[in-house]
Amino acid sequence: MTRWFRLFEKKRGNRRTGSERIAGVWEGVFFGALFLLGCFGFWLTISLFVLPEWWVNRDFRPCPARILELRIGTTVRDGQTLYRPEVCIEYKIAGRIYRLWTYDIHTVQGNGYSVDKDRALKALQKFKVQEIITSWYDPRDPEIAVIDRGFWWWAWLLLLIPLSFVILGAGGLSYHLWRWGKSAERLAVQGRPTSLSFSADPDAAMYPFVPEIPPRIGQPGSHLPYRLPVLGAPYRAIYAWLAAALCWNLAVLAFALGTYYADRFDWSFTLFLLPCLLIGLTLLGAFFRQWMAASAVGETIVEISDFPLLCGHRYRVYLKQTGWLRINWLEMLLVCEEEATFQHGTNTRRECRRIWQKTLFRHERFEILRSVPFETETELEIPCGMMHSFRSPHNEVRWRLYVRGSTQDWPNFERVFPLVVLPGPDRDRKPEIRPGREIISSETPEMAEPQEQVVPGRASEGSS
Amino acid sequence: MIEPRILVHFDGKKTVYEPGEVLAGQVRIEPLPLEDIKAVELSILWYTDGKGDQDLHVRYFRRWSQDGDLPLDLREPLRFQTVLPQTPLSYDGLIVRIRWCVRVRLFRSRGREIVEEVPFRLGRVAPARVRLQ
Repeated sequence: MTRWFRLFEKKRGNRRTGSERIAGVWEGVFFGALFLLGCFGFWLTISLFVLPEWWVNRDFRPCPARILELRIGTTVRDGQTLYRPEVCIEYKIAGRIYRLWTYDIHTVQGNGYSVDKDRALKALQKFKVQEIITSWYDPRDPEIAVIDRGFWWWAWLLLLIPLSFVILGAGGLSYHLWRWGKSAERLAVQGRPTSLSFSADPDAAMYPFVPEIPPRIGQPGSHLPYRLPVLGAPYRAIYAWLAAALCWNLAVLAFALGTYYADRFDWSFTLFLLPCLLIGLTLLGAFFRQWMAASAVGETIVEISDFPLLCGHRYRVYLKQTGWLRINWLEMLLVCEEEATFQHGTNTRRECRRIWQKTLFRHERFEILRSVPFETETELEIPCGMMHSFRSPHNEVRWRLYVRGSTQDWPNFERVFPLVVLPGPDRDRKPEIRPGREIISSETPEMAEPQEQVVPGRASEGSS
Repeated sequence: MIEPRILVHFDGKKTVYEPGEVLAGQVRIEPLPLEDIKAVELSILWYTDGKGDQDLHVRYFRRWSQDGDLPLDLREPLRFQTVLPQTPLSYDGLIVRIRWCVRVRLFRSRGREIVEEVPFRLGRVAPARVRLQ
């Protein structure tokens, strides 16, 4: 079984490299190290920043102090000069006079520097020499005193970094400890008590691992009982072109206006602007072409006599193509495809193979008018012995209806309609046309081989 | 020391089952005595084997162990029985394959675990070939 997170394992073609046990050990070590690093970072942030501030606000006591001198303290770290405000104060505790350079607790601890000199100057502007102010001293060690007790908000924000390491490390480590010594099968049943008879979902389903029926299939058809939902509507492409055109043209406009108002609009800028405007116009043109094509091709409606489908049965299928088109050819295909998803290095790849395809009809050279849509009805059969629809997290066998067309004025179009195919209820029956939802079947030999010709397949590969 | 052997027998000696049919059988482990066996796990499962990452689903699972709910007594054969589901059927595709099997794992006090896998077919789906017409 595939681990949900893999650092130390690779897939080479159809096989995996290395031992899963060793990979598990190394991943455990990795997450353990991450957890320890997070703990160390957490402790460091707490002890250096958070705890001293909390300690000052909780334990330090107020006392009046006189300002004797003001200055900006400097230091050089990694070749860069850093600054901090420093105030020399004088205060009296239990009859003893103390004098020290201070500001906040970080200054007392030798830190508190920053690259921002103005911030240090601004902090000093609040004070005047010989002014009496309130300072806070440590009752356990009166030689420690501050004149600013505030919290550094970013110190708390800084805690998020080690905290994320701790959460990731602890999560990964506990996951690996939970997996340790357990078989793939025991892990697959999610650690449920072994006395249970694992009959819960998905086994409770009538047809486990068959994709669910699309919710929109409940919509009744006008010609046949079920109207199929369409996958990947063309509107997505239209919106994508529109977004690209708007973004590009607005960016160019903003850039041009900015340059114009800054009085830097010269001939060289005009030369630079011309290709940008051309790109913007091309994007707008592509959007309008896509929009026009979608409106011209119109809606494709596919209806079917029953749903879901059963292997070894025949069904009526109805197509209605609207629009205003001069069609070169229009065809409907019944297709069975396999799709596999796999990790390839750090990428998730997807490979699809079409294993079976049948052209249900093909019409050539005709015209579709606004008032007269193209309508046709035909028959489809899911052959006996074919695989049913199947979907697991990384593997899928799917059935689809493709409606494809070529027009004289617009680009080719393709509309996809998903089908759900179940195994036939009884293999010893002959396929019959099923009017409506009624199942009619009769005797036939087992494992009938489809009569199609074997030809080289088509493969497509992509990544996501 | 002799390695224990796992013997899996299906009732009726069938290798092809129909959806909804009962799959039953027994497991014997030889030779006895078997003091160093900590636990035995038996699963009836399907897994994918092909181009994609492997998916696995356990239909039936039992774990017999010295300290578990099901006590381990290897003097008697370990019986198993389940009703096979309607889907997924065994399938030999081009890049997706679905294999059903009974898998037995033997956990020992010392040494590596021993695994025995006995395949069977669920349903009669024909192997995939590329057919485009």
